[in-house]
Amino acid sequence: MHDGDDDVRLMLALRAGDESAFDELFARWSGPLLRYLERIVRDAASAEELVQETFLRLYRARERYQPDARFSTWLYTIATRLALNELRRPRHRSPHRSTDQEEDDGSVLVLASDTPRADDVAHARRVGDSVEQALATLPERQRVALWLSAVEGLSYAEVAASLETSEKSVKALVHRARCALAELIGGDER
Amino acid sequence: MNPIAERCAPFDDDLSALLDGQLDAERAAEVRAHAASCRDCAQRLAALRGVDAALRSVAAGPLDATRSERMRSALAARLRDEANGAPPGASPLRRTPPRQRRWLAPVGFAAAAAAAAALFLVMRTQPPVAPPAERVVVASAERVTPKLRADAEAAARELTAHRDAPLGASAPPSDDAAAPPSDAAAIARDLDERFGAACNAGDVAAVTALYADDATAIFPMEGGVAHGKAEIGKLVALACQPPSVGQLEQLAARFLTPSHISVIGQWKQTFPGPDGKPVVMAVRTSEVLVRTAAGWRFLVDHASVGAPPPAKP
Repeated sequence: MHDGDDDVRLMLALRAGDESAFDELFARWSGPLLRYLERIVRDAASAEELVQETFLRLYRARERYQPDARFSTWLYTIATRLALNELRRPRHRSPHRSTDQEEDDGSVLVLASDTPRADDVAHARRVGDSVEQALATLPERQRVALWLSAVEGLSYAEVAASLETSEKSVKALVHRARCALAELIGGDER
Repeated sequence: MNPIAERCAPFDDDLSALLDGQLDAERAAEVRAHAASCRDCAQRLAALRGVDAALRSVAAGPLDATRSERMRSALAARLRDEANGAPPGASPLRRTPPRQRRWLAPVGFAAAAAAAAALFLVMRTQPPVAPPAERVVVASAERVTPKLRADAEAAARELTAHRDAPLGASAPPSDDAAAPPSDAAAIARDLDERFGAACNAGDVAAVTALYADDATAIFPMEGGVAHGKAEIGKLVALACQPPSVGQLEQLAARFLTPSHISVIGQWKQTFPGPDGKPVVMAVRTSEVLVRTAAGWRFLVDHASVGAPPPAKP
């Protein structure tokens, strides 16, 4: 999706004091990062806040940056840990949410197990095989593993680092997630 | 999908890894060979591949520009907070305020953070002023980022779009809207120098009189944005405090309409530091002047703060 060398070059430039590199990194990555976080926390406003927080952490850490991993891996690792922490919070809603944007569309869903809940699976089928709906039924770690692997192109080792788990676990998470989505999306075609 | 046959089980776990390019060459060849000879696994592989296509179609959707700008400006605000000395985490995750008029607030956030850091240094050397509210900081001209350049171009487009807009109370008499005066820079310099003289003298009323009734002033050091003369007078009272002295160094001006001039200025502000030695600060200004029945006045006056020049050895 992006030229990794360019990202490393920009990050090294930022580390060296070139502040404009931060603008460029935000322009390149805020969109993909927002789409990812929306699928993980399933709340548009929280996802926007997490994009801010991710870039804020990146900026604070700029002087310690070492190009020993792909930039995207580093960025998504920060974002993933923030997102999983957010999901641990009660209702994973920010207490700072302004009242004029407060709207509960019922989209908040936290699953603790690695198995899709039957009622959520049924719901996904009922609403018509939307990939968004199907994705939303997956447990959070499956969502993370599948998105980072299939969409962002991270290796299993890189996903494992983001999730603080083993490559073997990531392989299983990705496969379970992909099979579940194939079932949900293609279920009506059988 | 169909149940997995016993003969397929050894391969099923690796179908996703095959799609993700996570198998070594030998194992990938084995899995492909099996799928080529097994109808069920071929269908399963196709179904899994279809998931990836669906996900990528979701991921490829365009990002709404409003959301992008909202995140960007909120992040800029948080970086400015940190640059101003707020401890990390002290500032809550921020909802972005309603969209500001971009041509009044072109902020590259990293540059803004750097400028805010410089501002912080300067503020420590000055008498206390009102606590800053929403600061609007514009990077000095040396730090023109692609984003700032895009903002400037957008500002120019917006100003151009306003060319034929009704001008309201500050509009000149209609018979005045003939050919523009010959020298925009001379008009701008005259007004700016009158500003400088009155401000350096601490004459708040005289400075405020140089603004149009519906003017907007943005003074980052004094805490923000003021609309109308009453509010502007308060900012001016904070800004114009001898022995701080401002001096216009250069400007560029052009007519936007026969009754409007845009001005980009560079000022040198000198004031005593805590050790008694003078501190020199670069201030950039972006202004829109309007011709009124009483003469040329500031319609928009946006001052930015640059870093003090490095100390000479």
